[in-house]
Order: sequence, then C-alpha cells, then structure tokens
Amino acid sequence: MFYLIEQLFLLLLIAFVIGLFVGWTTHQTDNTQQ
Amino acid sequence: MTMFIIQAALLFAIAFFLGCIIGSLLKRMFGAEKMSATAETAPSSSVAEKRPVEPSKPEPKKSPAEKEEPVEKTIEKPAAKKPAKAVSKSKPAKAKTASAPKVQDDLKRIKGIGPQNESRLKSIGVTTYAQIAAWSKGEQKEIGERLSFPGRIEREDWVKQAKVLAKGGDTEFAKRVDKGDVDSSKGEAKSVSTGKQPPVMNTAPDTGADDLTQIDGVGNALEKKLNAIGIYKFDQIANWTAEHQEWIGHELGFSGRPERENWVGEAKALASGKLAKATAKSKRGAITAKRKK
Repeated sequence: MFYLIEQLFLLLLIAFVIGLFVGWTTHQTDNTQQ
Repeated sequence: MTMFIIQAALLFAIAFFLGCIIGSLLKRMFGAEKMSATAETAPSSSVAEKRPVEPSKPEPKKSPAEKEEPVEKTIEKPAAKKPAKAVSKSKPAKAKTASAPKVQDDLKRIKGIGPQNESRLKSIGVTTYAQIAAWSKGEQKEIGERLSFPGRIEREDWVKQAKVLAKGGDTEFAKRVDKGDVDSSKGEAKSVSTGKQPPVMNTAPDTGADDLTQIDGVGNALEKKLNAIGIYKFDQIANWTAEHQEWIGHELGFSGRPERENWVGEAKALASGKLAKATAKSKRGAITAKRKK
C-alpha cells in the first residue's frame, strides 16, 4: 500500500513538473503583446 | 480498483493543471523581473545567470505542500496568486522607463547592429551586452519591431552573440570589427553626431497616441518609424528644435524632410487644436495632398 502511495506521489510530482514546463513555455509575457 | 485509477488520473490532471498555472505565473513574474533588471543596471552577466535558478526554486517548495491535499490547494492557489498578477503587470512599463546603465558596450560588435541600430537601442536604454543577452523571445520580437526589423534579432542571433561578448569572449564578427574590417561598424555613427535627439517616450502614452499621419508628409510608414523612435504626440513634434529635426530626419532616412515640410508648424497647430480642419482630415486627404506634391 505504501509503495502504491509513493508511486502516486511520484506520478503527481512528475505531472506537476510537466505542467510547470508547459505553463512556462506556452505563456506569453505581457510585454510581447504591447 | 477502477475508482482508484480514476482518482489517480484526476489527481494527475490537477497536478498538471496546477503546474501550468504556476509555470505561467512564474514566467510572467520572472519575465517582468528580467525586464526591469535589464533596463535598470547589472552590466555583468548576473542577469543572465538568474534565469535557470529562479524557476526551479519555488517548485520543490510547492510540491510537498501539494502532496498532502492537492484538491484543496487548487482552489486556494489561483485566488492567492491573483494579486501577484496585478503587480507584475505594472512592472514592464516601469522597467522601460528606467534609466540606462552607466556602463556602455560597443554594440556594433554584434553582427546586425550598425550605427543606426545602436543609436536606436541606446534611445530605448539598451547599452550593454548583458542586457541583450538577457532578452527573452518575446522581448526580441518586441524590440525587433521597435527597430523596424521584425525577426532580425532572432535571425542574426544577437542574444547568442551578446552572451559571448558579455562574458568577455569574442565572436568571429567582433574580431573583424576590432581589426577594422567592417566598415559599417567603424567609429561612432554619423547619424548620432548629426543633430540632437529630441525627448522621446519609451512607451505609447496611456491617453493614446496621436494620429501622426495627419501631418502632411507623414504616412503610415513614417508614423511607425516615429513611434519606434518614441514619438507619439503632436506636442512632442511641436517642441522640436532645428537640431531635433535634423536628428529625426537622419533617423528616418529623409534628411531635411521635417524642416522642408514644416512638421513642427503643423504639429503645433494640431496640438493646439487650431487646425480643426486638419484634425478632421482623413488619411485619404493626407495622401492626396502628398500626391499633389
């Protein structure tokens, strides 16, 4: 059970990091739109 | 079991979404910080070095918190981040108006920057390699447009060159410039020495830019160039001295034209509202007037 939860957390962490990367790369800063 | 899988997938999606939000927020905040850093000071490479460190910092802090109750956090975080957004929005404008650093590099050692581009860059507060080295893609695009050469900065890779030069290295082109093999980069720009730069605005005024094409002799292309230099309002033009007109004429590539076409006189009339007809005059009218000439 503990192993499973650990796996899940790891997965979540990976998802978070991927999200962070996607958010970072796709976001356009305000000054580019001016 | 299926319930568990669904739950896990849901959590995965939430974590991803959260990451997206935080990532974009970080980019926005960090992008704004970088702009102010480039415009204010720091001629050293410390600006460029900031980049890889910052985005990774908050990440470990947030992930343990998220591990506990990810679902609840998603509700809290976007709300908590909103004020930060509002603050960061105002930053780029502030950064642009900041004064240029005292240390000045010879920007002409970058391939693609000639005397004219150098003086334009200086007029917007870019004087060091470190500043150019720290430009993001968005900034490159924006500045390229301001210099009236969209895409050139990326094409000639000014940032990469500037990074090398900022570290004290030499590019192939810089070596040639040092030897004096590149005519366009020799000495000070002639255009800089002719006339005097008038006061300019770094960004369009909040009240909106005036329609400069109402001045006879100024078409859409010239209006864009004037805006790129930082001329947006009639009263700016109205206050030009002979030296200013000379400088502007040179910058636009039409020496003597502002004087010849009496831009200052027209701008004065337009600014004071005396030239009511001209204010109401359409662009079409301006173009036909130009054709007559």
